[in-house]
This record gives sequence, C-alpha cells and structure tokens, in this order.
Amino acid sequence: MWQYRWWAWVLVFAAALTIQTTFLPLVFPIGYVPNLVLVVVVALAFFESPSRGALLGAIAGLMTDVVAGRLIGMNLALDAIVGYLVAQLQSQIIRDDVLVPGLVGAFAAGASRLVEWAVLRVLGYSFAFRPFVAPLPTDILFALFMTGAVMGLMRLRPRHEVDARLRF
Amino acid sequence: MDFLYRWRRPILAVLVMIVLATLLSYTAKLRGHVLTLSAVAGIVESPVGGVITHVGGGVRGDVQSLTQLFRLQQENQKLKARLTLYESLKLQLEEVQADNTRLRGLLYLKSQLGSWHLLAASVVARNPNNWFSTLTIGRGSTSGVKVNMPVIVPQGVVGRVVSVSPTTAQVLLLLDPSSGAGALDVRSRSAGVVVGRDPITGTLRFQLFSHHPNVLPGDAVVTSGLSQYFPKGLLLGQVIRVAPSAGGLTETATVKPAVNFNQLETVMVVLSHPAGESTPPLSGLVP
Repeated sequence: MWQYRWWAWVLVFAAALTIQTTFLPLVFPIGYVPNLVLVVVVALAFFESPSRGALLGAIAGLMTDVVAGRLIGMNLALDAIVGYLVAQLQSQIIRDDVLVPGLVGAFAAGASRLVEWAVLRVLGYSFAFRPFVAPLPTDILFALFMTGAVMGLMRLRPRHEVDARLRF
Repeated sequence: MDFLYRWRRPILAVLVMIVLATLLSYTAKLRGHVLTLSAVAGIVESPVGGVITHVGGGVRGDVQSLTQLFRLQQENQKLKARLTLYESLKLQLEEVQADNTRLRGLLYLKSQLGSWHLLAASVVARNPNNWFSTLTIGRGSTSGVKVNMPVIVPQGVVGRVVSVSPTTAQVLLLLDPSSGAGALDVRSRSAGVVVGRDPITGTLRFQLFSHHPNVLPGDAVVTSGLSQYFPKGLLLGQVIRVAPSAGGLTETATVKPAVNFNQLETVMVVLSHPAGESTPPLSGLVP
C-alpha cells in the first residue's frame, strides 16, 4: 500500500508544499496561509507507529524548511514531534474518520504555531503576540475541516485493513 | 281521440300560431305595458347578469393572469440566464481590466525609468512559513538576475533578491523582519532605516536617526540611496504614526507600505540603474 512507503510520503508532501506555496496564497492573505503540510502529516501519522510517525513528520518538516530557506530544523523538529504524538495517540483512542482527526489536526495546528512563536522569540525574532494570535482561527478551522478531508481524499486505510485485503 | 292523436302536431302548430298571432296583435296595441313588464324583468335580470358578468370577467382575468404569469415565468428564466451570462462577462472584463491596468503600470514604469534596465518577472510561489515573507519569481540567473538586486512595482519597492537559481529567484519582501532599507522622509528630509515587522501587522518600522526628525503622519518615505541595495528615490510607503523610540532619544515612525503584497503577480527586477541618479517617488506613475 502506497501510504506506508517513504517515497510516497515525499511525493505527497511535495504536492502539499506546492499547493501551500502557490494556490493557498491566492485564497488566504499573506501571513494567514494555513499549514497544509502539517495537516497531511497528521492524516498520515494516524495510520502509523510512533517511530514511523516521527519519521514522516521529519521528512515533511525538512522539505518545508528547505523550501522556506530559513531556520532549517525548526519545522523538521516540530513536524516530527507532531507525527510522533499523533501516532502515539491514535493507538490509544477510538476514532472516526472525520471528527477526531479534525480535532487532533486543529490542536496540532494551534500548538505548533504557539511553539513556533516561542522558538522564534528565543532565537531573537521579536514577533509581537498579535501575529501569533490573529491567524490562529484560520489555522485551527482549516485543520479541523481538512484533516478528515485529506484522509478521505487520499483513501488512507489502517494497516490491518490493507493486510486483510491483500490476503484475499 | 284517434283523430286528435294522429293530427296532434299540426293542431299544436296551428294553436301556437294562433296564440302567437293573438299575443302579437294584443301587445302591438299595449306597448307601454309590455315595456314596463320588460323593465321589471330587467330589474330582476340585471343583478344576476351583473354577477354573471363579474364572475365571467374575473374568470377571464384570472385566466389572463395565469397566462401572463406563465409567460412572465418563462421570461424571468430567460432573463436570469442572460443575467448569469452578463455577470460572468463582467467578471471576465474586470479581470482583463485589472490585468490591463497592471501591465500598463509596468510598461509606464519601464518608460519612465528609461535608462534603468528592468526585467519583468511573474510571482510563482510564496514562502511556506508564515513568519517570513519571501516569494519566488520565475526569472533566475539565466535571465541576468543576481543576488541583492532591487525588486519594484509601479506602486513602490517590493524587496530585494536574496537567492538565485538558474530559473527562479527568492525575493525578500520589505515586510520580512530581516529586511532593511535606508529611507528618507520626503518632506523633512529626515533619514533613517525602514525595517519589516511581520506579515500580519503589514507595516514597516522607520527608525529615524536624528533627535528631532520632524516627521509627520502622511509623509511619504522613499529610499535614501544610502543602503547598498536600493537606489535613491523609490517609494517605500507613507507614515501613519510617529512615536518616541524605546530609549527616548530618537523617534520611530510606523510606515504603511506603498505596495499591496497580497496582490503581487508581476514584479520588475532592477538589473541595473545609472549610478547616483535619483528618481521621483514611483507612486502615481500609473496613468
């Protein structure tokens, strides 16, 4: 199944990055563009073990950092942590296909933005509180609706379902 | 009896003719009485007739209204379809008009800065990270773009090139916290440095050098030509607020950028410009 292959992750993240840098800026104003790559990380990590969740998050974050061209490592670490935590969480909860992924994605979007803001301040970028707070509703609502949608669009399936299908 | 039964129809006809003849001859003499009787019949008949006429008129009116309604419905559908068509045409026209204005502005800019060597480039992507404001343009080193070249539009300064590949280049926008440009208040000639804040607030910080700079809200701010990146006289924005800086020794102005960074589609890379030449502020150059 493609969703468990690392090269497929690279392709999916490349597509998400392309949409995030070209299409979403046409829809959302500068500074308010939501993080589609993070949404894809959350969606994929829902079907992975924690270590593989961290790996796919790291790949996504590294690709984002390379395209952004600044502070290489910030998105890598953040997305790896998000991938790890989501994969850890999914093994311990009962989830549906829409609501729970949406809520987890929304929480991840808000939390990662807060951590980014804190890290940037530590690194000497004196961003005020408003640039952190103002895009939060957009980020959270986007992740809330898009995480389940991305899972549906990519037809992501749990590993045991895929294995069962392959056996038959 | 058989005779009567056999001849009943002719007898009846003869009787009817006799009665009719009698009635005719009698009423021919009593005209006034007959007219009165007719008038009395009219009194009885007229309200009934009126009601029937009214009801008939109403029914006819309703039928006409229904027909009209049906016709109007069809007409309405046709008009709605035409309206949709005109709306889409209007949108297309607006888009063409906006493109036209933008391209005219760029052409005018090129003609105004005749001795400047400008290169038009399309914006192809933005930075995936919201905290930083850079964009990617579709021209690179093969087109002659180099690092630190200024990027402008007819409204003012966009930023400068910070990295180049053979086919694309990264432009650091004025909004980015890492950007900076030597600036000058046009009215008071007070100098300083304009630096970006963040894309959300969308304003620039104009750190003034002098102790009493005499900068006022509404003043235009242009590049001073003192920084190594931007030539003199390019419009940066307009002062919207002035406040004492943290130490209280100087003042800091908040500047609203002249460029709308959300609507950048095509920009001009300044490949070369005459050294030391000052250009008038770019705002208002668009015909």
